[in-house]
Amino acid sequence: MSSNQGNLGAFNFKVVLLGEGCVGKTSVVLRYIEDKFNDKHISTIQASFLTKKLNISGKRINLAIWDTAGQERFHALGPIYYRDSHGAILVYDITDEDSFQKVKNWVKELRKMLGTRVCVCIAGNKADLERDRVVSREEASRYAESVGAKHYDTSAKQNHGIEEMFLDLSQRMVEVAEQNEQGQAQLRPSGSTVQVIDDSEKPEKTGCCS
Amino acid sequence: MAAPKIVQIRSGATKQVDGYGFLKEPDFDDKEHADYVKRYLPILVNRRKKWDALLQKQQLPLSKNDLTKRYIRKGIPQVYRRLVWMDVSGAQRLKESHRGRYKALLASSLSKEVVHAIKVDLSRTFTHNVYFGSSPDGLRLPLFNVLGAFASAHPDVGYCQGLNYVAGLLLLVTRCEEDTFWLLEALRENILPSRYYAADLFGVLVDMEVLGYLIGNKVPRVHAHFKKQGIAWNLLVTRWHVCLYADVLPVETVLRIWDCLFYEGSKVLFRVGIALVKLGEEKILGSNDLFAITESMKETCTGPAVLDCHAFIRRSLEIADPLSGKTIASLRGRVGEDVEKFRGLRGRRCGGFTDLYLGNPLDPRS
Repeated sequence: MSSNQGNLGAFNFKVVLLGEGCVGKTSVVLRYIEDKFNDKHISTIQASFLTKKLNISGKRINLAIWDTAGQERFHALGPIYYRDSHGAILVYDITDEDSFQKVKNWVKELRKMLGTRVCVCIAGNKADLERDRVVSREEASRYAESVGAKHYDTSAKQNHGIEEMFLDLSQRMVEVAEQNEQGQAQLRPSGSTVQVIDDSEKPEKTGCCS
Repeated sequence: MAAPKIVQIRSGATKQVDGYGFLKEPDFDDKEHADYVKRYLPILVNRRKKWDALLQKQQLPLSKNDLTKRYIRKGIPQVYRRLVWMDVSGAQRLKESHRGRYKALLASSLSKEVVHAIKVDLSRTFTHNVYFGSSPDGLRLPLFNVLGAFASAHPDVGYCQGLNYVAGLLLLVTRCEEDTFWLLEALRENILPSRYYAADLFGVLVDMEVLGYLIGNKVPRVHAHFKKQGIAWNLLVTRWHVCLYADVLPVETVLRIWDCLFYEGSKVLFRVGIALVKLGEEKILGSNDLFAITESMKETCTGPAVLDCHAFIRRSLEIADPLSGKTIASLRGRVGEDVEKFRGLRGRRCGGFTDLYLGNPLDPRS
């Protein structure tokens, strides 16, 4: 799993959103990419992909964001969704305790399959429904910390916490990638060839296989 | 659950809504659509006359022969669809041999989880269709009833996302929730392979791989391109298989596919898949990453060549001809074994078996 850092310094990261059905994964992505919120939701049956370009202190970052189906049986398609991910956002609904338990299952599966290389964020979504909250913020934050993840309260509806979460995740993915680079550089014999990756600017694309 | 209910649907398209109640999308191409309607309308009129004559001569059940097959491939008129689907799929026989079963299922209790899963999807089904809005006399309650009854009848299946689209479109056509239920039963009993919508989606997984294999045979350049790009085929076609093309292709095209599906069986699903890939071949070959490829496929699925359902069906049947039921059955058997085998390995393999025909293909020539 490499960060595919091209010779021009752009990082290419894959980020996957996972979580139970109807917690708002698609809404979180749509808010982040298109700054939209649609009351007419549709269920995601098949993964869809969107991209976003970022610039953090002069470092160019291309995010490929994978939105996935929430219903458990679609996990039979499993690893293709999160394979080679650099980051994962595990989403739950703050008004639904079960959805928080599902996040814990995802943490276990990701750690087992991808180890600690993957940067994890946990998003307590639907923060606009604070009155109906059943998952305690403190408990969720503590849990996140205990598994090396970062917790965010988010509301796709009110555009709260989402930009910040993706930004933080991107920064952490850069750090991990740079550490890997350094590790590899120490191992690399001097005078080794530099791989040139075509990194021409492409227009922002969105895609979904419907 | 409430008693079964028959919802009357007004027919007739308007400027904003098509004949099935679907709101026209913002990117709706009036000109393209008008061209297609102009070509298709005389065909519809002609088919209606032929079917009127056929059903005057013979009563249901229709006998299975080349004439029936030809008539069905050319499209069942909307007025006869419910009756003919019920007949040729075996749903009518199931209904008659299990009198009272649907009502009994409605009265049986469902687990909290299943009710929740279905309810969550009710407001997420065909959000662009006027009959699936929040109005109390719409189709949400009938849809809940059908999906609930199906889950009660098959606790091992429960509710599988995607069935909401299949049942939803069946409701729009049949306007009868009990018949919709029996058509779902017929799909499960007679038409789709076993364990299709099972909790592990086994049948869907197998069929996705079978389609991948057939693409290797019939559209080898695309197969090679996917392999070169390292793109897992499954990512692109899950909805094709799970929704039986509902909410993937234009409505009229889906109904024409289902005409064949109910009469000839699930083979047509592969024919359509091959035809779609063949149609999009040049665009796919010109796309060099997952994003571009998914966009190409999406464009193909909603493009004019697919909207023109009459020509598209003919094309689908011609492109993949011959494709025998025996071939499909034997492929499903072989692939099924592989899927089981790879599933066993999955704990240790990050990639899983989904790259079966990309990383380790069966030789298409064998």
